[in-house]
Amino acid sequence: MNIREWTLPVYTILTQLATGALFMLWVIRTLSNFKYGREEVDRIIKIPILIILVTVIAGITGAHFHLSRPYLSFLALRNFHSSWLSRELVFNLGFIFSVGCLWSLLWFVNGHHKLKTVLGWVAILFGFTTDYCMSRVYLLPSQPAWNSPLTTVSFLVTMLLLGVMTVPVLLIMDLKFSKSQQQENQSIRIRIIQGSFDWLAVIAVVMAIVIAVVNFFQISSLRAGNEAAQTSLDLLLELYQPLLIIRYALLFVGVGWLGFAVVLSHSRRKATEELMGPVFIACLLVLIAEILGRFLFFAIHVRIGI
Amino acid sequence: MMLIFFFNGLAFGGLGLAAYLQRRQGSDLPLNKHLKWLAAFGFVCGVTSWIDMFMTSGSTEEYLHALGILRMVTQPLTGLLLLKFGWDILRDLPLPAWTFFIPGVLIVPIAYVITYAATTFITTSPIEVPIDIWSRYLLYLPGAIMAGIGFLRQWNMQRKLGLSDVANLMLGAGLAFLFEAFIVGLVVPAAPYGPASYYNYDRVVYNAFTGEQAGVTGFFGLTAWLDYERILKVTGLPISFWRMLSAFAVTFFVVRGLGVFEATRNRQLKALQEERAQAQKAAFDAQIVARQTAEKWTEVLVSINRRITELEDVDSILLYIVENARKLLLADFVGLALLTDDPSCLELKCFSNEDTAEMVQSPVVVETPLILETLQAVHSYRSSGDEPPAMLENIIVGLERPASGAGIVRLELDNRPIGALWAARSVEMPFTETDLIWLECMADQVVIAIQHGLMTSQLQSLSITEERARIAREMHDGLAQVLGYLNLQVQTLEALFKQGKQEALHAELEQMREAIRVANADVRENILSLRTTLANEKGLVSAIGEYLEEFGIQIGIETCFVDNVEGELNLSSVAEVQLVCILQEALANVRKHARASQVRVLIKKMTQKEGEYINLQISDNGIGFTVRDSKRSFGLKTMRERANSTRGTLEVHSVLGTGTTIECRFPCIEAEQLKKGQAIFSREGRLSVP
Repeated sequence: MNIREWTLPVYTILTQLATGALFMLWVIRTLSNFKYGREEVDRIIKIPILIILVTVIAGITGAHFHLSRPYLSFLALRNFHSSWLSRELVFNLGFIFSVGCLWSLLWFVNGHHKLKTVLGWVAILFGFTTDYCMSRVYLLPSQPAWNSPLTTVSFLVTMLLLGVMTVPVLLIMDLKFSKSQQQENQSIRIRIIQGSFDWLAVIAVVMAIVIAVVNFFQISSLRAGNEAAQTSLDLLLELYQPLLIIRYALLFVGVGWLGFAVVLSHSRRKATEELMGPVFIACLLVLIAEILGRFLFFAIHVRIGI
Repeated sequence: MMLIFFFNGLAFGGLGLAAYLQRRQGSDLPLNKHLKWLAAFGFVCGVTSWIDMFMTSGSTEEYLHALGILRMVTQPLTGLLLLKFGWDILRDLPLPAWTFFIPGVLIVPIAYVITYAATTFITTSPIEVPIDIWSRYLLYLPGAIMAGIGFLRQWNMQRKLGLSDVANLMLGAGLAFLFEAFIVGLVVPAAPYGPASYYNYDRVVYNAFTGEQAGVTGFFGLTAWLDYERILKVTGLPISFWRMLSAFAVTFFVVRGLGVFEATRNRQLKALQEERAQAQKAAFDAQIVARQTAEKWTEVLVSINRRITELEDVDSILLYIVENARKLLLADFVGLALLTDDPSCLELKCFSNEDTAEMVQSPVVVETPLILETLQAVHSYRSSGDEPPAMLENIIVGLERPASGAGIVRLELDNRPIGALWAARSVEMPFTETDLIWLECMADQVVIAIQHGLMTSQLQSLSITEERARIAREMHDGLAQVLGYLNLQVQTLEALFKQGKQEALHAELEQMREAIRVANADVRENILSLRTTLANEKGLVSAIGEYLEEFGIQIGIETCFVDNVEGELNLSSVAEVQLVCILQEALANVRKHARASQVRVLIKKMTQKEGEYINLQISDNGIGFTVRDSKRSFGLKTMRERANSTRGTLEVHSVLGTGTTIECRFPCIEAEQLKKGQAIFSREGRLSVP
């Protein structure tokens, strides 16, 4: 895969990461609203939402480098009725727009909590739909390595896993910043982070296992497939075998590292903002693992026919 | 080429050695903590360069293979050590708050680059090539950039501290590391992947994994400059030469920049010297201030003692004490309160604030809990500054301003509390232990003044008793004896009458008449003495004049009173009493012994070096006496003692047949002191004579 082709993993991973992070953040917001008050929680998630917005914009910008003529990319929108790619782009633009509106509301408008809540869920819906359309783009009969519902499932699981791993990084980063600015609501930030650490870690472990299981079924289906599928399987298990091993090693080490951060958090041997290192490393390892996974996804495709 | 690698290794080895030696010297500069990583980087980088040198020299294949393996270890290790050093020096100075978001922003690019790097290891390219490339991209490049930025931040800091010479070296080191980042971290060997596959596109244009032609693209055309061959073509010098140059630059500036430790030590030494000089000056100034303060206090204490010994009016002494205590303590208020007959009732006696210092005329009961508690406590009270404001409420009597600090001392007489002296400030300047000690000294003076007042009162009482004893003695010696004598004479007269001795009878009657006349004179003099009191409203001088006039009428002596006093006498009350007693004694002597026809009394005020004094002269034209014989005279001795008791003098001048002059002098007290107040004992009996 040439460098130019790497823009595809960039785009897909960043979009899934942004959707997953927004989803997890919104779940945390919903759970925390009752305990700590909407105003406080909305103040805390402002900067993470901005980073999510930047991420999704960076993703779609990166996707343009995949095109030979990036300035004509808008033409892809014309085939909404027949093309999953066109739908993916439309929903992705909707996702960006809704996240942008959500961020504007959070930063510049007080109150309107219901509107913010609804807009957040709408953005998440756009994100999920984008992710679904994105997976459907690859369900091509000519590409046996991709043409399976497992592709959709794996995209969804990756989205959730990256969201779970990214949200602690965003919240702790924001906590450190708020401490440096001596803002008042640090105790609430800390309680929100500590309160969500446990279940985020559990979800991460479950998602990692699901990824392994899905991958196992993908390999099984390739093994039972046609010649092209066999070729893809050979590529995966021979040429790219070291990368496959590295991918799963990093995935489970990363998830384990998040568990280590949870243990540190419970033992109170470190202040919450000092958990930035373990949480960052955990997120980095899982991110590398998932990018490797996406690289393998693109690398093993073997076209049937011309 | 061997020489280039040799010098390259030498430069980095020197850098490592310099950093190691500097670290051994030790310093409290934070930069010192990171020198171990710089030293390690220098040594390992030097070793890597010398491995290159040995590999260039040509040798057996096994030897080269072993060196190649060693290089695959040392090169990433070099990058790792530089990365660690760069990261540490970058964070050596506090980073701006926005940098907290850098990890979040960089996490995705870092993940992508690492992932991409990982994929290149499965290509057909020899393993040492991706190790070389990714060591440079992932470790050396960010490490050198961070080290460069770290040194630039040090440059900025040193510049602000005024160490321009060291700052410039830091700037050089920062720029040298950035140059190193470009030359060593960004210019990599040609390879079929990564950025290298693009900026070396004219030589490597195939897919690294599949071998397919990827097509020519000029996407990063400018990066052709990062090609080894292009640099050789343009500059005429190989990349190794530029790397050696960069190594020399880094080593030169960093080693020279390590002079920051010496400069810092010198600066600290200079600062310490300045600090010591300032401390010495401050101590000297403090000594002067303390001495001046002590002198002021001593002066005031001496002045108080002088006033006490001069038997000055107690109220004026107390006012003097509170006013001076306030001024010397820089207090806004000083109050003095005394217990009344009711031991639980504390009444304000006098106070001083910035506007006035006065005795309190109508009773003001002090009910401030803090003062009452201190009155019962053993130790004096000094506010610490942590008290709630309510605690110091009403401590400044008569002013609206709240007190921020106070010192309270209780007054003790015979181990019994008799009152309290306190000082208060409304400004934020707490009382020190020294302040409290001085306030206690003032309290002691208050007690001494009161004690002296009591003693003076007792002395006056004793004077009255003494006067009564004198009158009794006079009556016993004079009137009683005359009456006894007359009783005998009456019996004699009766006998003579019965015997019919007319002549003897007449002689006895004549003697009786003389005895009665003498007794009458004594009695009249005593009556006159008793009538002459100082309490009379006319004043002492008028009283003396009247007394002398009556004395002349009664005794039948010509009297002359000369009053040369202008204004007030300014004598203490005790001195006035003693003056009158001396005058009476002297006139009694004139009547009894002098046989004078004239007596002259002169009173005048004179000024000498020591101050003003009152001169009293009693002169007669009597028979006189020998002064030497008179020294055993009880009357004269008493008069002298009376004069001495008020620091006065008494002199007797007498010539036989000419007359006698008694001259006594009494020192005046300052008019200003006399004006203040009235005797504490003269009002309402608040402190009564035991």
